[in-house]
Amino acid sequence: MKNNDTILKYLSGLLDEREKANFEKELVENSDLKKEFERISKELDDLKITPEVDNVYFANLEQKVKSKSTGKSKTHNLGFSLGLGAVFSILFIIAVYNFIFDKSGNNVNSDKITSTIVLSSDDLADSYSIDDLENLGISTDDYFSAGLSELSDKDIISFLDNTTFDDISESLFSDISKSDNFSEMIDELKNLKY
Amino acid sequence: MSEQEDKRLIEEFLAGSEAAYNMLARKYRSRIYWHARRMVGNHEDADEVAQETLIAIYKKVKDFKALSSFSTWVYKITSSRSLNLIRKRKVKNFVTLDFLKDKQNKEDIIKNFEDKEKLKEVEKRLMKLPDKQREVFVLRHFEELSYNEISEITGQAIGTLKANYFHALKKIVKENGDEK
Repeated sequence: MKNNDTILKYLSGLLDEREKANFEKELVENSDLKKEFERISKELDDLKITPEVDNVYFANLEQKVKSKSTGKSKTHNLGFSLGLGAVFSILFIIAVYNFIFDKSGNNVNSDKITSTIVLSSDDLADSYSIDDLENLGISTDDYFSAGLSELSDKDIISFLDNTTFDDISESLFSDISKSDNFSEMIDELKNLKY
Repeated sequence: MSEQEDKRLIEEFLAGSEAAYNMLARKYRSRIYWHARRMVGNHEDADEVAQETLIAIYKKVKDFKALSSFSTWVYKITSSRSLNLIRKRKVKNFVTLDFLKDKQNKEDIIKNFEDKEKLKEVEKRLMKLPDKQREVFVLRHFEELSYNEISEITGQAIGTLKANYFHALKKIVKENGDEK
């Protein structure tokens, strides 16, 4: 055990010059120490295995790194995010517009509805989730990030399913359009309806 | 010669040559991978570290001041990324040998079954060492770097490195002795 410690100190460079010289001298003279030194050295050498690897991995690694190094991060690309937000806002407006006409078949003043919703589309881009949009029939693979779902699609769908717009007056749309966000707008519509 | 070649490639890369970066990446990718692998103990994490390191080289080579050799700088990035990943894993998964076993059983790039088993044993032993001891042991024993180079990589004093290496050796050799 004492030999082991001295061998390991020697291998670690912890012996000073004098101790090192003594150890090397003893290594020549003492066969037991030499045997133990060789055993430990071999054990340590046996750890040094570098197996044959699949070279395809390294070729692919280069490709992966290249695409990541030169590619722009989706989450950090403000222009892309804003563009995406605008696209989904427009899609949402179109879907709601179509939905209203499919479901109600009423002579609602479409300009008014559209303008009301357009006023809220910026809020949508910030606060509406893609799941909600998908539930409304807009298919997409991406999503808006933040704070979704104070506004629920149930609110919208239930409202739209059960509402006829005959009674919704021009003044109502005027009131609604003053709402700060889409959620409030829906609440106002619901309150007025029910 | 090798350092001069690195310097030339870095200059060419900074001047806009992607081919120069490719040559640097090809030269160092295996060393990066194996250093990472011995640090993290499995292919999946080593792959992540290797990718991160190569990307860091791509993006940060302009910051390389040539105060040390390029290879030392590369090891420094690899080591620090490995240690970061280990810390992250510890927080997330409470690293245990079972966890390591799961990782080891996943996809690997080792062709030969026997080699794979031997490597698993080595990795198991290495992962039993404290991170700092493992870092010194790997850099000294496998990469055969001098204490001065390891000091540049880890920022630790040479006396501390020697002591860490000694304790690592003691555990590794004891481990071998115990299993016989």
